[in-house]
Amino acid sequence: MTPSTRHCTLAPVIANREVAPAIFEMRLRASEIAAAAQPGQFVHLRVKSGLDPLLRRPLSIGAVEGEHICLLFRVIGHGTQLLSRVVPGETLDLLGPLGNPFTLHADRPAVLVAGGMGIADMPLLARRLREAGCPAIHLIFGARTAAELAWTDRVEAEGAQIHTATDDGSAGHHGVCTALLPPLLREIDARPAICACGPEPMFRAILSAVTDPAIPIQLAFEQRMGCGIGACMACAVETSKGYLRACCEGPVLDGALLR
Amino acid sequence: MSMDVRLDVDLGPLRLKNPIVTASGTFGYATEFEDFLDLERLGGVALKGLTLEPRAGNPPPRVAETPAGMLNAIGLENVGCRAFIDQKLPPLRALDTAVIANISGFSVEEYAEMAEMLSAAEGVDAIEINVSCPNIRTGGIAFGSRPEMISEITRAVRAAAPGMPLLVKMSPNVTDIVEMARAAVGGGADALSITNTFLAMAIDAETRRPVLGNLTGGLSGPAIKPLALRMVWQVHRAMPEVPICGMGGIMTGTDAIEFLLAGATAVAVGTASLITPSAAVDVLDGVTDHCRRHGVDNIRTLIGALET
Repeated sequence: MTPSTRHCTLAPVIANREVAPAIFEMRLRASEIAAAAQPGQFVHLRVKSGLDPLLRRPLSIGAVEGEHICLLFRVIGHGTQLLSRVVPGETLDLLGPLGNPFTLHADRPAVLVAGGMGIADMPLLARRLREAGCPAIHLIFGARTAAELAWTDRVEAEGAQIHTATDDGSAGHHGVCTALLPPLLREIDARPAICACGPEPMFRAILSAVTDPAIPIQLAFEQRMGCGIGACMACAVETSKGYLRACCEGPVLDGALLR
Repeated sequence: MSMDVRLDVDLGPLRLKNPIVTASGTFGYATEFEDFLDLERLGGVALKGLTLEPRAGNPPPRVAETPAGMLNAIGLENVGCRAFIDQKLPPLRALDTAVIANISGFSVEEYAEMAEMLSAAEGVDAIEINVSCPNIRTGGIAFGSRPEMISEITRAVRAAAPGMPLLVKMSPNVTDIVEMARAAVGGGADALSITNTFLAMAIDAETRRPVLGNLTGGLSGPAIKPLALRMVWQVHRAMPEVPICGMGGIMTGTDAIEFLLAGATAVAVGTASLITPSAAVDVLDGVTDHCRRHGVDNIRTLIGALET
C-alpha cells in the first residue's frame, strides 16, 4: 500500500437500498478512493457525526464504478442500523482506501470463497482478475438462505462461474460452502489461487481442505477495529508470526500464516 | 486580520510550542499519522507505551465501543525499548515537536533501565512514566494506586535520567488522586499527566460473555471527560504550582479550553485521533479560534482561570 493514496473525505451518498433482507448496498461518490482502491481494501467510515456511535466502521470496497464506490453491509447493531437509514444527499466521513489488498495471481484460475458478508470483497476482486487476464474465475458463496445470496449477479457479470451453498438448502448445496471446494479443485486441471473472505471457521475449513503448498491461499479478515491506520493495535489477528494488524498487514493475510 | 495568539507553554522544564500533544497509546509511533496531519504543528507527541522487552499484547477482541466512549485492552503491545530507539525514534529526530517517550515497567529496576536508555538516545525530549496501565496484571495500575510505589519509581527514573523532563501519568482508579499526585511530585516529577483510562467492562448479554478478550479494559473518550476534568481541577487546586497535562475525552478545541481552565498547562488528544487522524491539529485550530473570539492573546492566561 502506498501511504499517499489514503484519503479522509466527505463522500455524498448516491444510493442506499436493501438488496436482500437486512442487507444494504450503499453507493457513494468518492473519486480519490475509487481511483486508488484495490480489491480487499476497505474504507473506515463514520456512521454519523457526533459522539454515538463514536468509532468508525470498516467496510470492504466491494465495487468501483467511475468515481463511485459500492459497499455492502448487514444490519446487525446500532451502527449499521443507523447506516441503513442514511439517504441520498447525506454525506459520510470516509477514510481510505486502507489495508493490504489481495495479490492477483492472474496467470492461473481463481477460486473466490465468500461466506455470508464476505461476498462484499468479491465483485471488485473478480473485475480486477478478469482485467488482468485470469483464465477462469469461480465463486463459491455460502449464505444462510437463498435470499441472502446478494451480489452474486455482480460477480457473475465479471465472467465468474457461481457455486452456491445455503445453510437451509433453499439454494445450491445444502450445507457449508467449503464442501464445494474439494470437488471444484479436482475439476480444475491447474493449481488455482484461492481468495477467501468470511468467518474464521470457514478459513479453517479451507486450510484443512487445501494442503498443497503450491496453491496460494489468501484470507481477508473482518476484525473489530480502532484507528484503521496501524496506530492503536486493536485489530490484532493471531498468526504464526504473532499478532498482525488487520488494518495494515491485513485485512488480506497469507493463509500459510494461519496454519 | 486575525490577532496573534501566543501559544507556547512550559510543562515544567519542557517547553512546548503550543499546549496540544497526543496521548500515549492512541498515536502509535507518530509516523502512522503523517499522511493526515503535519506533526510539526503539534506541541508534542507522546508515543506508544514502551516496555523493556517487546510485548505481544492481549488476546482479541481488544476494543469495545460504549456510549460516547470505548474500552481498550491492548495490553501494551509494543516493539520494546531497544527497537524503539533503533527503529522508531530516528524518523522523529528531525521533527520540530517534543517527543515524549512513555514507559511501563514490571519492576522499579526496569523503569530505571528504560529511562537510562532513552535519555542516552538522542531525540527523546521527555519521559512519561506510566504507573497506570489497567490492562496488565502486574506493574501498571498495581503501582499507580500505591503512593509509596509511585514515589519510588519516580525517584528511580529521576536518578537514571537526570536533566530529562519527567511526567508521571496518573491512574484515575484510586480513592484520592491528590495523594497519588503528591507522591509523584515528591519523587521528583516535573509534571503530571491526568488521567489514564478508567477500569471498566462491557458485557454481551446475548452470549453472556465479556466483550473484551482481557475481560476488563480502560474506558476513554468523551464519556470520561467530566471525570478527568474534576481530577485535573482537584490536583491543580491542591498543588497549583505543578504543571498538568490534562486528558480524557478531548474531541474539540472547546474541550481543551475546559481542561486549561481547570488547571492544565497542556492537554493531550487521545481517542479522538483514532476516529479522526487529524484530530490533534483540529483541536489546536479550535483552541486558537477560541482565543481569538475571546481576545486572549496569551494561552497561559487561561491556565487555571476557572472562576468559582
